[in-house]
Amino acid sequence: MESIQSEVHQSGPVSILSLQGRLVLGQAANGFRSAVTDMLNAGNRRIVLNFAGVPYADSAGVGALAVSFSNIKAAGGHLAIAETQQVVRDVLELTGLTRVIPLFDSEPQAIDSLTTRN
Amino acid sequence: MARTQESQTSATPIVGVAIAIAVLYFARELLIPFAFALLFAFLLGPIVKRLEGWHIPRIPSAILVLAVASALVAIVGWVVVGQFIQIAESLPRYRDNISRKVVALQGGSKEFSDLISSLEDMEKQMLAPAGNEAANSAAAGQAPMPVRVVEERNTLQTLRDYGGELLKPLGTAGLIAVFTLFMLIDRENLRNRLLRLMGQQKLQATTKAMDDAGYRVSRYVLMQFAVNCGFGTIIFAGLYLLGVPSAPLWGVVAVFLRFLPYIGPPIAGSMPFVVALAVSDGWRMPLSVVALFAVTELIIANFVEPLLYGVHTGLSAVAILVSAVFWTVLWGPIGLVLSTPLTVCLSVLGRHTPQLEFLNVVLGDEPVLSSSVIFYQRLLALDQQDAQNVLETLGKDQPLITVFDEIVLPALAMAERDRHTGQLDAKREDFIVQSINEFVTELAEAEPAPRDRKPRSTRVFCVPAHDAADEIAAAMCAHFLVQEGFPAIAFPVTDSPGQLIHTLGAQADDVVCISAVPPFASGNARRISKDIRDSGVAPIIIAGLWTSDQSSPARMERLRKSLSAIVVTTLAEVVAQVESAEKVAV
Repeated sequence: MESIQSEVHQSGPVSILSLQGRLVLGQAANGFRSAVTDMLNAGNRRIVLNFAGVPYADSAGVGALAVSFSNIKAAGGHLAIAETQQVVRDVLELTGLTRVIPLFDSEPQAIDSLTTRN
Repeated sequence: MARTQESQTSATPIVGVAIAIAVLYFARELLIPFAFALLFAFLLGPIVKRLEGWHIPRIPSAILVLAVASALVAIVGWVVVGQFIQIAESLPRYRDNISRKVVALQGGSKEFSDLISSLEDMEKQMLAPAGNEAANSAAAGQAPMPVRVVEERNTLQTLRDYGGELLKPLGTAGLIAVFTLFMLIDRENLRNRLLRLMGQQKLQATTKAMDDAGYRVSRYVLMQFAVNCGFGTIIFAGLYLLGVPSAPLWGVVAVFLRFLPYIGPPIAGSMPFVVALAVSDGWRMPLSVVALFAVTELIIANFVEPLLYGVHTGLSAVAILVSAVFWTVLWGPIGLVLSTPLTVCLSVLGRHTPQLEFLNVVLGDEPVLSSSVIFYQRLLALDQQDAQNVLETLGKDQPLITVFDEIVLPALAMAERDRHTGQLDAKREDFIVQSINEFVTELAEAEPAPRDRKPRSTRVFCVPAHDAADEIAAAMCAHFLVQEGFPAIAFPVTDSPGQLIHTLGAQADDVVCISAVPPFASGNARRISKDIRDSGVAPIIIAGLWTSDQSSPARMERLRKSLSAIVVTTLAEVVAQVESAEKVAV
């Protein structure tokens, strides 16, 4: 079963989750959600998702992203997505997620936007 | 007391079957003509109908068709008998030829030569005059043979003696003709009486059973007759070209004997083989006859019949064989001729009558297990590769949405039912969920997007009602909506889907599709529907209750009211409903 690789690093108050692999139904989507939940449990509230290594996301992958966003928001946190590939960007725009989750072309831009937030 | 009742209940079907067999056996003198008449009625019925279509009243049509058919049978019978007599008279001329070939075949063994000699001696004795026999006996010192005085017989006595033998088949033929005529003329009345007998409350099932039986038996008899005519024509042409005498006769014999399952063609072939053996000097002609029959039968049985009948008669090969034995034991050679059409009738009866369903299971050639059960059974056996093969094989030539609707969703429901009843252990449950997850992802990704897909504006949130099975179903749902151009999101299971949808800024023209796999599908769907309505957003809600059971319209209406949602049971319906919702919104 397809899984997704994730790696967390910190930049000031912002936690960055870099993903590698396709965000699809099953272990990949579940693994992604677990990684975000672990970050929330660790007390991280400003999270940037680096999607540079995510070439594709299906409807279940987008669903996992939506639920993660909702959980972060419910915990009083903020989420931003950086370096999205065009295919994934199109999906996020079509599903209206870009209306609630900001997208940035680069990781530093995303970090900056969250650093300045209260 | 209870035990006695139980044993009585279990013995009832056996007693019933025993009584039925006894009736079939002891009433065979009446039932055989009736069965033949039924067969002829199925064969001639369409022709009578056609004549009626040409404004010829039914009674003259039926009489005309029956008269023509009887005349044809009589002519063919007359010619066949005449030819047989001719062959029987000419065969002795070829006796030496046959003996030579048989001896050569046996390698000229002493035992076989002795056997031939014994047969010849026996023939001489039988043909010798009685006086010689008595003299021989006396000469051999044997006891004198008892002498019986035979009175000279007048014409009336001869008629009485031989008339009985002749009248019996003629009487049967007459009975068949009368029954057939009655069935052709009064078929609606007969059908109505049968419907009444089987109960008016099962009118729909009975009507369907009779239509189905009529269609399948008619089709079988007509097709079989047409195929046999083709077979006979090829045999006639082949034998004629080979130079076998009486080729037309063997062609006609082949047509009729081929009605006998399995043994008919070999019997039909054995007769011209013997004739070829008799008239030819070498082995070329007899062997060519065998090859002609074998090749023609193989081609017709394996290529022509499946093409014409679809899946033959709807009977399994074993059922045809067993029924041939059963009817032959019961009714003799005539039973063999009637075995297949009679078994088709029984199979059809079993298909539409719940109490007799076992007949269709035992006799029919339809898969006993449904596609979804086979697929689920492979998953239960923890054989992922085989399950995938089953899915690919059964789903071949079908749209993916049909495969998911008819195989994967019912399998998910079976897994859920077994899990809830404690029949599925954690290991198997996890294996099944993971495997189906994998199949769905793989098949969905492999499905090409439609070329004419246009982007749609209506967002669809696919929300699982309770657990992992609902989650997979929601993902399937989202896939087909995406294929149609809808921006669809398949959520994982969450505590508050209402809150989630609210966070994502849902609007009134968005659609929420709740995905709920049975059991407890409606209860879980109701809870989610309420959660969404309580969250303050008011999208259109569709509840997908993935049950294969055909719920009554009244129940669907009750569910629609209690869920405050459009209720659907298949993925195809979801797509259709979302399309309708979009049109309404526009």
